Formats: sequence, C-alpha cells, structure tokens
Amino acid sequence: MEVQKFNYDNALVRNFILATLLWGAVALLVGLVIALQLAFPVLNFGLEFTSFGRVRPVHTNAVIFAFIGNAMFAGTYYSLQRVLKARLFNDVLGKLHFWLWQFIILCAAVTLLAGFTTGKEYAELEWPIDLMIAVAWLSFGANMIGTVVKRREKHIYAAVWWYLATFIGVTILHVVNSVELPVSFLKSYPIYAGAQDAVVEWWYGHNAVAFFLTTPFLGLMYYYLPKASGRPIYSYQLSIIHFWSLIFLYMWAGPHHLLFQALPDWVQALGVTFSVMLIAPSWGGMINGLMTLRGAWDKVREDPALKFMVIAITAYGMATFEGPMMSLKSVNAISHFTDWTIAHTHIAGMAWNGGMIFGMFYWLVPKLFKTPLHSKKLANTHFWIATLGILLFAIPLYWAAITQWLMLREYTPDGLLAYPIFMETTIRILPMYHIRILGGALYFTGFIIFLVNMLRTIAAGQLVANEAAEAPALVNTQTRSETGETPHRWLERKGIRLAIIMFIALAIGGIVEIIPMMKVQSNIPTISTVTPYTPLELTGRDIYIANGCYNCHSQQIRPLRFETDRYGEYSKIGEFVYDHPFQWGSRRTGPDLARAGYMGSSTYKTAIWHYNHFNKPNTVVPRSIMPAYPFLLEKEVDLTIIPTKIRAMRTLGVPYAEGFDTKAVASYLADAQKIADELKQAGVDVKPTKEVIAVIAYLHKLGRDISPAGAAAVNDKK
Amino acid sequence: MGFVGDTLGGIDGIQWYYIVGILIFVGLFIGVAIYTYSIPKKDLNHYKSSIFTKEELNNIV
Repeated sequence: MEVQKFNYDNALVRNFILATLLWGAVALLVGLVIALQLAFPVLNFGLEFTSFGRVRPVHTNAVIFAFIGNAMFAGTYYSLQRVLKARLFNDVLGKLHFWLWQFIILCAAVTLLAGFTTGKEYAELEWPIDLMIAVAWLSFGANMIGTVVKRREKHIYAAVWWYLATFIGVTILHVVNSVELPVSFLKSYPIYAGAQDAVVEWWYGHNAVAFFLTTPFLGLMYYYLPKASGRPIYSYQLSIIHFWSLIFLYMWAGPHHLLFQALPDWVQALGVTFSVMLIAPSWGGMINGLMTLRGAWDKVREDPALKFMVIAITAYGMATFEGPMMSLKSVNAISHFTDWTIAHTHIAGMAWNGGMIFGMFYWLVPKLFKTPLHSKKLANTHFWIATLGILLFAIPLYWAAITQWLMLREYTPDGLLAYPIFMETTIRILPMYHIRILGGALYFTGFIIFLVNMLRTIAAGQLVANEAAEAPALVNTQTRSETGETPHRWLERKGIRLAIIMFIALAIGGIVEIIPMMKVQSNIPTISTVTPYTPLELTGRDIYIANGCYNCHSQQIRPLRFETDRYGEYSKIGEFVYDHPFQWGSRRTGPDLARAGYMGSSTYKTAIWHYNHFNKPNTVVPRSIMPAYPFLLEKEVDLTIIPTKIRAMRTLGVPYAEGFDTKAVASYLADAQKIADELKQAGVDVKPTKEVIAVIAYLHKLGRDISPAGAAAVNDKK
Repeated sequence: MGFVGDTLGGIDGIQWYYIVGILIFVGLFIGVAIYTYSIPKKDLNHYKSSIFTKEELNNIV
C-alpha cells in the first residue's frame, strides 16, 4: 500500500488560537463593563458610544463570534486534519477565512458602538458585514468539505459530522434571517415584519445557540475528550443516534422564546413540544461525554484540561435540562423577561463553551508548540477561580429573577398591584447585580491567568507551521465495496450525499414553522386602526433601534393578569404588521413600552417628561439605572434619507400612498414642530430636527392606534 | 400538491404540522436506531479508535 507524505497546516490553527486569546480578553472585559453599568449607571458616561444599549451587543457578539468562534475554528482545523489524515484543502481559503473573520469582528465592534444595528438580537450586524460573514463562512465550509473529499481515512469520524452540521446549519440560518433591504451603506430593514420577523429571528437566535455554540462543541468534545483522557468515546452508536435526533429537533424549538406573545398558538405549541423532546439527544451527548471517562477519573483529578471538560459537559447537561424546562409555559412566565434567561445563557456560555475552550487549549497548545504547559498550578488556580466565578455570577441572577417575578405579580388584599412602580423591583435586585459583578470579575481574573499561562507556553515552545505526517493513500473513497456495505458506510461514502441528507434533516423544522407563518394570512390578523409610522415616528424608531433600547425594554405585554394590570391591554399580532424589524425584546431591565403611547396607561408620559428623562433620568425617576441620553437633545436628524426610507418601506409592503416619499420631509417637519411647540409650552426650547423629538414621537405611537383616542383619530381621518 | 396548497391557504388543519413533524421524527429515530445497530461491533471499535495514533492505542487500557 502506498504511503503518502504530507504536512498539517498548524499556522492557521496557531492564528485562530491567538485570536481567541485576544478577543476572549476583550469580550469578557466588555461583559464586566456592562455588568458594572447595570449596577452603576454613571459608568455609561452619558455618551452614545458607551451607553449600555450599544455596548451590550458588542459583548454578546464578541463572546459568541470572536471568542467562541475563533476557538471553534482553531479546534476544528486542528482535529479535522488529524481525523481525515489530510492537510486542509486550500491554504488561501484558510487565510481568507482567518483574516476576513478578524476584520468582521473589528467592523462589528465599530459599527455597533456607532449605532449601526439591525436591532435583532445576535444578528445585529448590518448588511455589508452580513455579506462578509457569508464569504468567510463559505470559505470555512469549502475548506472543510474539500478536506473531507481529499481525505486519506475511509471513515468520517463523529466529530466531523458535527462540524459539517455546523456549517450547513449556520448557512441556512444566516441566509434566511439576513434577508434585508438596504436603504444606505449601513442601514437596512428586514423583509419580515412583526410576528413573522419574530418567528424568523428566534428560529435563528435559538439555532445560533444550537449550531454555533452546541454542535461544533460536541464535535470538539468527541475529538479532544478522548485524546485528553486517552479513552475512546463511550458509545459510537449513541453518538450517531443523538447526532441525527439533535440536529433534527433543534430547528423546531425557536418559538419557545416567544411564549405568551403575539404569535399563533400552534407555533408556540410546536416550539414547546420539540424543546421538551430535545432533552433526550442533548443528554445523549452528555452521557457519552461523561461515560468516556469511566476508568479515567483519576486523570481528571490531575489534569486541568480534563477538569474543564468535565465541568463543561456537566454544565451542558444542566443547561439542556433547564432550557426545555424554561420552555414550559408555567416556567417561562417567570423566566422570560427576567434575569433567569441571563443566568441560563451564562451557565451555557461560561461553563459549557468556556470550559470546553479552556480544556481544549490546555491540551492543544502544549501539543501544538511541542512543550509542556507552562504551569499546571496556574491552570488549576484558573479552574477553581472560574468555577467560583460562574457560581457567583449565576446564583444571584436566578435569585434576582425569582425576586423580581414575585414582586411583579404581588397583589395587595384589595386586589391592586403591590409594587405598581417597576423601578421598585429593579432597586430590590441591585444587590444581586453587585454580586454578579464579583462573579464576572473572578471569571475574568481566571481568564487572565489562562492567558498568561498560554502565552508563556507558546513562548517556551516552537511551532512547526507545516508538520510532517504520513498515511496510506486512500483509493477512490466513493466506490461501493464489492462485498456490500452497511448503511453507515453508504452514508459516508459520498460526502455530498451526507451533506444533503443533513440539510434535509435541518431544513424540515424551519420550513414547517416559517412557511405557514408567511403564507397563511389568518396567522396575521390585521387591525383596521393600526396605521404605518409617520416619517417622524419611523425616524424615532430607527434612533430607538440604533441606541439598543430593545436591550432593556420590551414591547410585548403578555396575557397574564399581573402584566395587563401593570401595562394595559395585552399585545396583539395585528399591532406589529409594519414593524421592520420587530422590537419585542427579551429582557425587561426597564418597564415594557408597548403602551407608551396609550393615553391613560401607566407607561404613557408627556413629551416634557421624556425630554427630562432622556437628559437626566434620575431627576425624573430617582435611583433609575437608565443611562442618560443627553446627546439625543443635541444631535440633528439626517432628513435627506427619509424619502429613501419611505420608498424602502413601500417596497416591503407598508401601505404609504404613492408619491408620499416626496412629501415625507414636510410631514416630518410639521409633526416635529407640534412636539417642539408642546415642549416650548413646558419651558424647553428645542429645534424640531433634534433626535429627541423623533424618539418622543415614536414612543407616543406605541399602542396609540388601539387606544380609544388613537382609534377615533384614525377613524376620523378615514 | 393540492393538499399542500389547501393547507397553506388557511389555519384549518394546522394540527397536521405537529402530527407530521412528530411522525417524521419517530420515523427518523427508528431508521437511525436500526441502521446504527446494524453496524458491526468490529467497525464501531475501529471508528472509535481511528483518532488515536499507534502509540496512544498502546496506552489505552
């Protein structure tokens, strides 16, 4: 048998490792900053670039796509070559992927802080960056599939199946969720609106968790855990069964993020049903991971890499039990819009993804640089500090969630809300936010120890950029064996066939949920009094989105007594038909705003109240943790883009009259003048073209159309 | 494709999405389980160990 000599590409792996270390430090530091901002709002500094609403998406994007993403690529490229006994398919594709990904991260940080955002959680990046992501992702996929095709190993090991599913899954999600209509270089509107946009976005959001944070890490677990422990995976059969079950079921579960919300019941029920079913395949992975260590637990005691992997797999099991429980409506009523969700995501992110990354790096970096780990003692210190940090981070947030929920639903003996002012509940949970900061600081400290340990190890070792290897040539992997073959061999014989079958398994859930939402008109009952946004309101909405207000304020009142008593009538699907994008939010750090324009509701405030509140929140709401937005009072609106926005909205189906774009600026100025006059009567002189006027107009639109006064005004016009 | 068109035309019969979805999953699960258990033990052991070098294999107890 011919033995072929070739080289592994270690330089690309090294680059992604270094990028992980750099962006990991940045991402965690930014996370610490926003935790501090929530407890000490003065740290928002009254600047638009440093306000919580803009910095929080930087943290989430940096953690997911920069820290976890780079680590995932490092681990994937290293293991892929060894498993398939082949150098990566194409060096140029590898370099393109690496440098473009880092450029995307830089662009993301700059644009998000500058207020360019789509306003959709975890998919905030604007359309030019979306296109770059597509190129980088396709270069990753092409390199991976090319390597599979030119492999020297007949069998495709389980880890590679997970990597392939990751590529296909994220491709589907990114394409479907990013269909948007550009109105300028860094501004676009999604083609979906309201409930449809919500279904697509949370189908994406939930499956970004699945196919960016779970499936690649299961693949990494299937390679690095056996390698680090010196034990083959416990059950290969289980790995196949839980692979197909997990990738099929995950795609259906997205609507559990929208329970009790303005969405057809059937979609919510589908989301709940499949979420509960997800426990089984998820625990299949956890069991397979932990059972791999049978007979090797003595190594866990000694080896920091294994310690981190064990905590990661245990956290994976906890989070994948908690997730389905949170999708039960009775639990979701508590967990949604409170800190429970934040605790859940951080258990998964810090312990599962973080643990796998740290464990993988403690094993991989010494191997790659052919030197022992700089300090095992430091690694063990990192382990205990990080573990304590996770606990001190998550436990106070669970506590905060339950406390706030109990307060929000507390009634007096007379049947009135015991805590009618939302701020009272926020103040009560602030001590928990202080402890969370301590947890975050510990985790960050652990990361710095890890960083030092890694850099010292790298400095002491030497990278062989092109590591020599040899393996027997594999002759025609696509030929059917003359003696017959098992279904498994049939599946793997042609990589493209395997990929197509994975695509079908992945696509079914999305198709079943999304297509009926788009096609069945009765899913989206309209309300005759709901009208499109005026140019002034639309501009205010864009400013609201640019400043990330949705990070703290929801626009969705659930049909629960303690919500309707607090905010007013529950939200209906027809209210959101012109919302490109939807702005329902996922966490209420401040009160819901769905009825901020409904006169008589608890959240309706006058123009002067809003003006003063944006300028100095504490003068209006003592002890408020809302950042100050004095820049809204100073910044001018760009009027020239308004006609383009109106035309874009018309293209998306918003029923503005033909030619309205030419009158849009005049309409804007007339409406803005009314608010400026109202403010003048209250003693404030402000130009109608200032941003604050537009935001006030937008807030006064929320819920107005279904209020008696708003509906009457619309009917009068008709 | 008349059935598909009719179903997509209105909310009636939406329960078919649950039923068909779960049936597809049950079918997939049974199929995968049967095919997985049809893989010979020898092959499974080979797959499991394929990521190890000869040296590493010698160290596995």
